[in-house]
Amino acid sequence: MRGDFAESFANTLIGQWTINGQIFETVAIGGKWPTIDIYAEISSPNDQKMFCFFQVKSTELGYTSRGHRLRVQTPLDKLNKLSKFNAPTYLIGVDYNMVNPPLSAAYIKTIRGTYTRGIASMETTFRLNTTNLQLLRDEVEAFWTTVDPLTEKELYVTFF
Amino acid sequence: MRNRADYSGWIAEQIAKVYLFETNLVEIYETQDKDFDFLCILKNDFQKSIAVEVKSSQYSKSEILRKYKPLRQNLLQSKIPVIMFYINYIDKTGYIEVLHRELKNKLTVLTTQNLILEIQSINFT
Repeated sequence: MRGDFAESFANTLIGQWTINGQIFETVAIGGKWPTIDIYAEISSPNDQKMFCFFQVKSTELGYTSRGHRLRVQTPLDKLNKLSKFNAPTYLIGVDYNMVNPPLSAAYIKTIRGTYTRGIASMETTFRLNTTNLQLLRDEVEAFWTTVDPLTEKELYVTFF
Repeated sequence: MRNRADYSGWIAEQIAKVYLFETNLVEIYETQDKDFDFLCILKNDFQKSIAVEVKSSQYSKSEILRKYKPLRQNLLQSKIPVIMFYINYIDKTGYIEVLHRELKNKLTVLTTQNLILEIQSINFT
């Protein structure tokens, strides 16, 4: 399984066109930076830049028989590193379609908090499609609206 | 966010990259060269490079050959082989064409296997 393919593929799904136009502008970071594979940002109504990070994992192993979970594996250290970013962070699991790879399926899961063990499979509740991109957009906006870093930016001490 | 026209170009490039990565034959490099969208280096021979130009297109084969003829002829002047991608981003299908030395007017359906065959058949000498 090729990581470059999965990241590039996930990038096309996150950046895809929806009934509301393109929701996320993305950059595939890939091997240039550890932990994060894709940076994505949205524009809020007041033009505030809001962003989130994705790590992409793929598998050719399909799904578990119990619970129909995608058999993507993510080591403990990678989960905790991703979780520690001060921004919304997500794992994208790609079910690699060996017959027609560009038609592979992908799923999304929030990564946050502290993990005590790695992931051996992930839920397939939320497919990375246009409907769930809208949900994702709303929660990323909600996160940054709550955190309000622009106000903090006006207040923090800077020497430069 | 991108408008529809900008988006179609962006997503067509991303789809082309997905197929190129899937071949596992090349490394992809962004280029400042405005003549091409990006550059590929063969993994098994870093001396060999291929330029890539991507068009978002929902035209038929004959329409592609006609509409892009001036561009295709211009790209033949390139010192390195050029792979043209004509991508229908709606259904992620398309055609590919290798431009090298002569205009063959031969479009191949875009699949990973066909792309591998096209890359492997390029005569770099």
